[in-house]
Amino acid sequence: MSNILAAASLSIGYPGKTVAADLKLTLTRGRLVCLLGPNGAGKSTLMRTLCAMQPPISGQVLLDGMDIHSISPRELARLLSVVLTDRIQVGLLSAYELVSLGRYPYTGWSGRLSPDDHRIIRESIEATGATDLASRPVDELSDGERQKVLMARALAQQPKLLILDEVTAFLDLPRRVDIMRTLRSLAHQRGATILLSTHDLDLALRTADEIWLLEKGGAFHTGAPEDLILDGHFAAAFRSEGIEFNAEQGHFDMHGERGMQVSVHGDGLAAKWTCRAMERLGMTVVSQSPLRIVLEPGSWRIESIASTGTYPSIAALAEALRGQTTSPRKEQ
Amino acid sequence: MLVLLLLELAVGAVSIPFFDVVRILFTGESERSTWLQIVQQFRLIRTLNALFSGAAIAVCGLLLQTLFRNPLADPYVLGVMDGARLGVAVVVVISGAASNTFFAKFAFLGDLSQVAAAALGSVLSMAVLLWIAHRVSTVTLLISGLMLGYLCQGLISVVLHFTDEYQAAAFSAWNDGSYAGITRGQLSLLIPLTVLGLASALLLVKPLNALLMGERYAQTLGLPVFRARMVTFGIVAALGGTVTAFCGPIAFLGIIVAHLARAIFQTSDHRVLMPAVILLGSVLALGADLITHLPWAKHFLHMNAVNGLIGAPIVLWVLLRQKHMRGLAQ
Repeated sequence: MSNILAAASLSIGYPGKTVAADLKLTLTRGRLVCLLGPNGAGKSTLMRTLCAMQPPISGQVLLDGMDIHSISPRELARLLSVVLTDRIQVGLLSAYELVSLGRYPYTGWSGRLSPDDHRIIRESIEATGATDLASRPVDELSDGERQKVLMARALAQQPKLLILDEVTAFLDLPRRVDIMRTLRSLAHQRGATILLSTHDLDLALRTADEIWLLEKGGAFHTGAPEDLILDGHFAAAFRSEGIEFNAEQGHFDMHGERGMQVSVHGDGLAAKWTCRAMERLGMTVVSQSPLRIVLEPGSWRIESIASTGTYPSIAALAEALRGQTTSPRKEQ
Repeated sequence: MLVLLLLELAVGAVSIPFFDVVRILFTGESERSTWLQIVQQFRLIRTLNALFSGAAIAVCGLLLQTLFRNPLADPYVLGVMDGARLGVAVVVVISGAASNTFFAKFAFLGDLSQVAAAALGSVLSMAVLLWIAHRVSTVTLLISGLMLGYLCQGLISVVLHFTDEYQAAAFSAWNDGSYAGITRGQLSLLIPLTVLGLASALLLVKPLNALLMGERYAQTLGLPVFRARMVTFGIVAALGGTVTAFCGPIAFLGIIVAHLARAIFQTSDHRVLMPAVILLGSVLALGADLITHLPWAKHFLHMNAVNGLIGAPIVLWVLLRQKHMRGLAQ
């Protein structure tokens, strides 16, 4: 069967408090799925329920066709591995030794590793691009390197499903992109099935095969990222957060309130980034406005009722506009 | 280790040549009957006691350090031994051990109940610690352990109030911790119990390694965390209780040995650490005991004085370098 994970009419939460009810979800082999949702929507509760750390209020989670709570811990560890946000401090273990702990559900009482185990450990390390880190002590690794090692450890469990909770949090952008790229290649090239919860909306929309969207109040939508954007669910889910999803541009607008209107006249990359600069200043870019920015080769000109001027850079332009945008507001 | 063992047997208020020691050990006879008696009646028992107790306490230290994820955990520091002592004190009072000496007249049953009480006492104090450990940082846990120890000591004083003076004096002598005051009968109880405890500890190396990653990860690796925790607890209680019942509280050994083993072998892998700790524990206990009864020491140096002299600086050193601590982080 191609469904690794499935649940129908699943209710999650705590005794006395249902976080989300009647969820229906399936996870297909070889897919990278991102679970998104505003803070407090219950992403962590859903994640914990799906990896059997927490019982559902009603309904059941089927992993590989079996009720997840009927599977023995050892068997479960062979089917499902997780990467958590828990800070791990393993003392003097090397990255390789840490990854080798992933073989735990397969080894005997002493944890002795067979040549086969060693081969799987090496492959896992290779798959996450952590080969150079193998001999280093885990405590000396950077956050990004550590996440790679932890992912390798999860792979060494040879699970049918890999669940990762917020693995990209606290990482800088290149590291986040790197991790997401690694995950995508694990899913697409190696057939791993991956569920990842993340706050990184932009990156998730660009990388995931499928998005699970959990709204505050428990509404749950699944689908391709683009479908969720087109049917408006995506924007709706995050509207309460005070950020507006800009379906045109495919990103979130930073400004909460609508500022002064401005129109940008020009072409190409320079025009695009001038628009971005206007948004950064808290202005709304429209097609026609009394306040016009006209792009000329190498310079920017402001045309408005109040003043006109030419500026050599966006920084200079922004400085001039700051003076303009603050004064009309005082009059309001 | 062999050298230390022979030294331990040879050196003391009466020095006995090496050759004779070996001869006594293997043939059971000697030119001088006093030597024979000293070696067989006193020093051999003491030596064996130090070997097994040292290993037991050292293993307790390692288990507690991994269990609490705290590099300074140790049955003495955390007050577990005080819990055990409280147990013993209660038994002493209840059984009313009216006889003149505190130890010698204890029959086998008495010994056993002493061990059981000590184990129970350590279990109780560990339960309290576990409850605290979830909520606090490394250092706070240590302070809590100290407080728990003081609490137990206070209770011990209260309990001892109900015994006669002589018994109380015997109890306080036992309080200093020594491998010397043990009878052959007690030894025949101590050895099987510690061997059992050490063997079970060796069986735990794999779960302990998983626990290095923290409990949630250990759980996802298929380890029944609660059960593993309880088993570890049981072993610490059995080992710590047994040793404390017979030797009194032995300070710091648990901390020193685990850190020494990590420093020597540069790993946190329990498959290496556990045997190393058992061996080092025996050796260090023997060494420390040897120092206490060197001829010029004249028994002025207590066991715990030696341990403290070595142990306290190590604790300080660990605390001071905690920021980049690599042994086992908080």
